Amino acid sequence: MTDVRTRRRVAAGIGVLLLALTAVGVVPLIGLAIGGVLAAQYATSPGATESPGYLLACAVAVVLLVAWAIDLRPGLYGWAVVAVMAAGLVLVDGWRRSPGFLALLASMTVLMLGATLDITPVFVFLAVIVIGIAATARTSGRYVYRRVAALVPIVIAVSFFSFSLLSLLPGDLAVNIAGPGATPEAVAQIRADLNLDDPIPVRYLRWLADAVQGDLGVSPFLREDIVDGLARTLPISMQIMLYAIVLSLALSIPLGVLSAYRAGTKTDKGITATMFGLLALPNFVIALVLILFFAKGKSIIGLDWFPATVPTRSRIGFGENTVLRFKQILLPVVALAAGLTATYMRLLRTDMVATLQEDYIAVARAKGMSTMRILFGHALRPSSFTLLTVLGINIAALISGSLIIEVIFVLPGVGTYLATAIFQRDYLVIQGVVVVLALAFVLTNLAVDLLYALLDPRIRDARAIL
Amino acid sequence: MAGSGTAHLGGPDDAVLRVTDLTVEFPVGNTGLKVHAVSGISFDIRKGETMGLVGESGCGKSTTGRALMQVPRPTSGRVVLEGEDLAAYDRESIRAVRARLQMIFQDPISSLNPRRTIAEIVREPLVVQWLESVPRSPVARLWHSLVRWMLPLWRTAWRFGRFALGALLAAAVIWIVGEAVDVSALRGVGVAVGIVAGIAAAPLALFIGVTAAAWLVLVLLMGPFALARWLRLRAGRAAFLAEADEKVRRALSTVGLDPDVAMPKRRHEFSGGQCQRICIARALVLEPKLLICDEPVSALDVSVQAQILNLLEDMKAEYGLTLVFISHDLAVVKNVSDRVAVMYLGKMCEVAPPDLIYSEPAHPYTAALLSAIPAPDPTINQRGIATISGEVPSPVFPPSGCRFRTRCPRATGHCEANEPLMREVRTGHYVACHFPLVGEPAPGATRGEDELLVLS
Amino acid sequence: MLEQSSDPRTDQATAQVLEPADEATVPDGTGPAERDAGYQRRKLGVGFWIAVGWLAVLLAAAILGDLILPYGPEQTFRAAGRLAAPSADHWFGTDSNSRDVFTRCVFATRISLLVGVSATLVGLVVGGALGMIAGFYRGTIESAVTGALDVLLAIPFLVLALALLTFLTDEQNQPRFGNISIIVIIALSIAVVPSIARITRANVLVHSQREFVLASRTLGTRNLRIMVREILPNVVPAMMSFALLYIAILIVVEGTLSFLGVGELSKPTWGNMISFGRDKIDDAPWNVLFPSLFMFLTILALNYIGDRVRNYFDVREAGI
Repeated sequence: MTDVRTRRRVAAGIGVLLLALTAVGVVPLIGLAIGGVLAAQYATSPGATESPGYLLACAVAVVLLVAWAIDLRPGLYGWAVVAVMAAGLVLVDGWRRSPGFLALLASMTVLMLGATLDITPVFVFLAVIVIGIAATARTSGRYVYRRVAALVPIVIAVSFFSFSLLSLLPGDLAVNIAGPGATPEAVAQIRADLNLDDPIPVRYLRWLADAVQGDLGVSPFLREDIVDGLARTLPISMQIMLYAIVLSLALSIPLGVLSAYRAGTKTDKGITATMFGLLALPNFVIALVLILFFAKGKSIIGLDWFPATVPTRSRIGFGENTVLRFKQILLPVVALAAGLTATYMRLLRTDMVATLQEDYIAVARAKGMSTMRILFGHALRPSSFTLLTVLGINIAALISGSLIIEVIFVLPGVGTYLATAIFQRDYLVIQGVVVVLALAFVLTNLAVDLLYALLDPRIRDARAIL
Repeated sequence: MAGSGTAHLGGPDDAVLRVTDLTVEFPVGNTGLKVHAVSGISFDIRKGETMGLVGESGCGKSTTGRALMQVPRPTSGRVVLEGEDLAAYDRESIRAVRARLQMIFQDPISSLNPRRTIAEIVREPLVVQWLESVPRSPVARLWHSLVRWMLPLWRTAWRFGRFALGALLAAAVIWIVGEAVDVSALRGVGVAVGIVAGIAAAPLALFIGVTAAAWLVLVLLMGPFALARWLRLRAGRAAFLAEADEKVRRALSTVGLDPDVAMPKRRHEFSGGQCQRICIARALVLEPKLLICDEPVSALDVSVQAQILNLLEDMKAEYGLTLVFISHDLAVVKNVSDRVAVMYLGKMCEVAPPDLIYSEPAHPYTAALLSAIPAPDPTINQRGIATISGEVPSPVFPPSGCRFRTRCPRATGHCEANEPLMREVRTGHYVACHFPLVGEPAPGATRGEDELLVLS
Repeated sequence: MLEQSSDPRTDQATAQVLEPADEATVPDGTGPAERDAGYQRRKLGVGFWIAVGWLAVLLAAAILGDLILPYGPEQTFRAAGRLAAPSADHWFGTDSNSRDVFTRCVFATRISLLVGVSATLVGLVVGGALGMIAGFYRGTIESAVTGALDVLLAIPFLVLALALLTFLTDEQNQPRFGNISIIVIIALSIAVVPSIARITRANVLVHSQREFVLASRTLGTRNLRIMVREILPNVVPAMMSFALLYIAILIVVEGTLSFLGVGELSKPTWGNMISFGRDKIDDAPWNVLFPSLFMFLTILALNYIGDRVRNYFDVREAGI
């Protein structure tokens, strides 16, 4: 399978297959995006093995797996997607040369174990990240170890910071935690449970010891383990964020490329101005405007297509009743993706305009290469590094955005969980959410950094020397 | 050479600047390795003389120039300016000497601040000297000296303290694991390790804490004193500015710029050559004794180069300057220098007047450099001339003995074992080579013997 | 002097060409082509003045609100009724407490801008100083400062602000000390300091490697003077455009906080007006749309001004 044409046919085949599966409602929306991206990538890249296609595929596969993992409904279709992707990767790259394939295999194993042992999806997510790190370590060990080692003090400091937030409260901590209406017995219970009579360093160590075992305490208001609360809500937030990333990339990459290609024309100016305006719209305003136009019972123009709120259910199936699900999730995702699209498009446009002035683009043009292949095959990858970096940094904006969007659409995600906790002053829940979100942010940034290093060996080597 | 030795230094009295065993080393990350940028070079410059310093890129000539300016301070060696050893001075004493020692840089555009007017830029040296002329309060001086003493001490404390901190961390981890699996023995171990680490860390923490507290107190005390000093400066400001303005105007006119036109402008309104003129004006406004020119014309158009070189000649005559002229351009150096020093990989190869060096180089490296100048004559057979091959060795791991031996066509085992010293091969012509192209081989350096030595 | 009469640009062009490749000089936008483009771009344009004008009008209306507006922000209008549609008397209609939406929109500018501007200013002073120190003194000091900043950066901005705010207010959303707006400003300042410090550091790093800093060092200039006189003027334009961006971000964050039920809820801000109007969005969309419009226009103006300032000073974004 060394022939480029064959490879391309295989890749296109994967894309078509995924498209077909999506069409009959077996694979959800995300499959569509993956199929399209994969097919386009392979159809345009000059040599499949040296193209970023397989890295991209591997990244997308991880995204898919995470999306699937947080849903925790390992249906047949999920396995089918994974199997097709794995087969495609082996065919395209040869399994020996493909760290993506190894990562895929490893994450499949983890997921299977996770599903069998019924482990909280959060930990499955963490496991996938760890596996990703391990896969990267194969190619750039030293950089990875340095990067991971630098993380340890940060994680410790962040956990201490979140822990010591409680100490900001004036007055008796136990009374504060229990809330205004609590009985003396409940207060005494909390005092004993949290060892509040110990000095702060000892309490911190005890809290940390519990936290690493998945015990962040029990909410006195909800009478629920905080870890269980997170396990209930986090998957929904992650789903929205993932869809928002996919949607914003799917919109911003073509728009950015088009705008850069037609730089200075009316098309470019129109797109850029629109995006500039979009950037000035806070996501909650977009969400409210969307509700005003398209939500059931709220629409002022009679287009009540989508529900404004999602019925409170612990988990929404990924593949079951695709149409309903699509309707439930679309407005929040669009509201969240709008700002991101504008940011990404502007970044990509700037870099792409610079890339298109490079000599090698002129050479490619002089050789008579088609515009599409120049743009997507040659110019896109060198222009996408800033975008990738910002993609990692923007996770923070994404988390913030999803918090507010969930509150508006009453999605049972972390945002709603946190907002309820803030309303009730449920300090333990606030503490737990802060610590988990900070940890997730740090780890995702690590994963993005490593992916970045994998894509651009210069960075990896340069940093390894320093 | 590439060797050491001080035979080429003149008598004790006639030098404006005398550099002895100047060494500059930079650490390579945290590896403990060092870049040997300059390794024990010596030279002296007589009053009114122009000393040319030539060599390839990366041979340490720019580092030498900066070490003379004490930015950064050299690792070791003496830099004696008119009898005062700058390398032995502390930072405060050097400030007073700087008026006599100025430098101009390779990139004239980049060495002017784009956001300041030319008047401000040229006045800056005067302002710095003026600010220094009003003494700082004893509190400020105490603070400065505390910073100077404390930073290295803190660094050392941290070097040991981090192990204690690591041990504390390890203790916490052990304790948490013990708590998690509920084994009291493990918890006990954690507590014990924690106590030991705590005891070890306590004095260091105390030391850092106390010094930091003293530092903070001084910072708070400095405020009123600084205010008093500021008021004093404010009172003398108008008189100073009037005087400075006069000097700036004079300096700008001497370098051939119209002060009225140039002073309110910023650097982007000038060409490269004009920027270099401004740099020269800035260096001369303090009327220094010694001017170090670090590749002053390399970044300029060839037609402008000559103008700047002529200007430097004029300034030299007018201000009675002594010049150190650093360049990789052999032709330029030949034209401006009274003596030329050739450097290779942080060492001095050859020192002689340009006529001697350019007509009959004694050091194989100099010969190679000269032969590398392309001759504008197609009839000359370039192949017949000995050129050097290979790469410059890494300054992190410089070769033993003579540093040039790895690329030298004349190198023998003797060169590997012994570092050549500077010696006079002709009147005024000094070379650090065992087997120079001019004159006798160094005493004790015989080819046959050494080859035998290497074999045995 | 022949050279002075010649066209400065040709001289510059050759100077650029002759610049040896092994010298890692930072491009500083003084190349001839860039310079020409720079001169053309050095116009602020009509849009800039429109944006400034909007902000000026808004600011004037907010400050002089009591004098020029016929109604007060808390004044209720029984006659108009609740959720009245826009009319000649009430341009933007009334809210669910029969208060005039237009008046409230104008008065909301006070808190929204106050929070955005003062938190950014605190962030600029503290973060700017930290970033300057970290970028200028390399080595131990740098790693100490960046290490501390990394910890704060590890917590997402909004989550950090939320957490601080929650722990600084009580169950009734009353401040534990001082004024609620001051608490919001404190929380947002703490949250904004690390990112401003990071941007400053990146910019300072670029400039502290330049030859004019070395030149200044050889003059014996003290570090403080180098930082203030040589580096600061070069960093300020970039920081100015970032500051405008941060004001815009903080206005949005303030609104987000209102949505989550913390922050300033008693006096009108655009954010809490939108948040309160959300329940009745289908009956009275003007309660949401008009404050949204004010917010949008203000953010747009701030972003646009920031963009123009960046272009005007030809600032490259050094690090994000």
